[in-house]
Amino acid sequence: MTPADAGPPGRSPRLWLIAAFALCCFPIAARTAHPLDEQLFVPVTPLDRTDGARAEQWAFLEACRAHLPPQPVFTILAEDPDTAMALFMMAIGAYPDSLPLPTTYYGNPTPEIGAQAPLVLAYRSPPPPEWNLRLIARVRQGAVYARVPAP
Amino acid sequence: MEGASWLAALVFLPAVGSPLLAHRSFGRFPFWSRVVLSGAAGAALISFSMTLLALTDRAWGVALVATLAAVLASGLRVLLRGEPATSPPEPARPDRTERIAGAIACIAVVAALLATLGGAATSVDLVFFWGAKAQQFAAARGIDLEFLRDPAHQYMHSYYPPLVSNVFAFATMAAGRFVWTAAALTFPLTLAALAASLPGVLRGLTSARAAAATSALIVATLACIGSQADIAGNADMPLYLFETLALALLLRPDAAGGPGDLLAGILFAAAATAKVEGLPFAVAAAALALWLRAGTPAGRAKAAARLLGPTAVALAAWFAFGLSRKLFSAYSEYGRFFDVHPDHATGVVAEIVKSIAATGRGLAYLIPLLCLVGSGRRGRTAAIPLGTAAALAGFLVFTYLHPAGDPAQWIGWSAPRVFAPLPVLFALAAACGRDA
Repeated sequence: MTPADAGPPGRSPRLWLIAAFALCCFPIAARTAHPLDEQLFVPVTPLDRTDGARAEQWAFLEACRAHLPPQPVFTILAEDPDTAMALFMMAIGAYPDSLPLPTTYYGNPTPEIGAQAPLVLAYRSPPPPEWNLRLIARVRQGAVYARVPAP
Repeated sequence: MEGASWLAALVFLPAVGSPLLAHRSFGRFPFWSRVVLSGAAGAALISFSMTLLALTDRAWGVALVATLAAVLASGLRVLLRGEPATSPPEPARPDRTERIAGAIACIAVVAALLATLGGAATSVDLVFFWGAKAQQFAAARGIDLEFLRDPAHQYMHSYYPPLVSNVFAFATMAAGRFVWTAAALTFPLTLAALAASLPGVLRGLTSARAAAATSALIVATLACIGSQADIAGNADMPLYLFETLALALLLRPDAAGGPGDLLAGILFAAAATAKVEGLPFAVAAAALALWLRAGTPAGRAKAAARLLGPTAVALAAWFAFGLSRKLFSAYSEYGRFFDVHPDHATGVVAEIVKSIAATGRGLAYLIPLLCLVGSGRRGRTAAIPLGTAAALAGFLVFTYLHPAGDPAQWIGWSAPRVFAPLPVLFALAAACGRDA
């Protein structure tokens, strides 16, 4: 075989190019189908248009950042274990100098681990009153608390 | 600005790979193909150097890692001693078809870039573990054992092949911090690298027009799947780059021989250390290439060593690290190898088809398949991409048969990405000429 007797793209490159162009257009067409204001919206998190729920959770972590001390040790509360786990995983990357401690880990309750954290980030879910927490700041979608040491 | 310096650090990749690719025997490749092949080889060597340093308890540093990788690249030239010089195809003014193909590839890359910048293609895996691992490893100046051993970090997947976390950590050390957007931009960047290099690599297999058309189809396919399946910032796009270039190298009529085999072998090592499924891809493609070749048993053994030796060495270093630190001893999350549930087979296949069909209506998988079918009977070399596609599909279905429970959710978020090499292999098979 020599390059000159090459395969079908050599015989019908137009069809291949039309196929390639169609594949280019598909994602663009899918994107432009959204309302214009949605298209012009500048993303504030890496996940704004891939996973709205995760984007909200990322934004919550960003909002909490200003209220955390350097190298914070904290746990995260959320309305359900999946959300708490996602926030825990994202917090490891979002706060590289921190120590997040899970209160639930992939659906398994780990309260003894979470209880060691002096700070609590509560996402859309108020912490139980018996936790004896002091509010540090309210942020979008939640709040940051500190544990009050037992007298 | 930090994002720019994080991405600029990736310039080290072609720089450290260039001592190898500067060898006269690689003169057959046009300039941009050589640059990208240097970068791909450089990624494999940088990652291997970092693994080696971690194995020997040496702290990572940008200069140390880059120097060690460049020394390894220079050392590999010894294996090419006596190989004759080659020259690229005669430069010719691109015809209309080539220009249109180039424009389509550019549109595909720009679409991927816009999707990534718009936060519409970012992988959740980036924010869950790739980014966290890269930052942690960069801060620890090594593979952070304490971090990976923490039971709360079980889902950091400590056994995952190390290339992406290593290269991201390298860029993080060079830039001074990890930048999420920059990491996500590795998707369009790697896609652009493929668009720039593939026509030159395929040029040895087929005519310039056909090489350009095939490249445009492959780049558009990966842009479409990548944007729909959200792969920006994870290990998938680097894996596609390594696999596509390695396969394209193997299909060239001048593939057999020291330089071609060694380069394909290094790219296979990069694939196998980028993702788990890179290993079956490399083994299947190398085995098929060797099967199709004439030659003495000694010659085939030599070729096998060049094609699979780098993968064996790279994975040996990684598993030596895992075993010596009692961190991992296998790709452990999938259960025991033969502990499968064949009764799930129908459901698994149905879920795979469903998830692929839900990704851009399945067009990115279907169109290259139709191109292959429409191209008629292909030559023997087409057995390499088609056999590799069959082996990879078999491996993936076999993997999905492992969970005792319903794997539908796992298939839903992974199948569109892990099956993406199949349409690429279909396009490469269709580009293979008929036998004389």
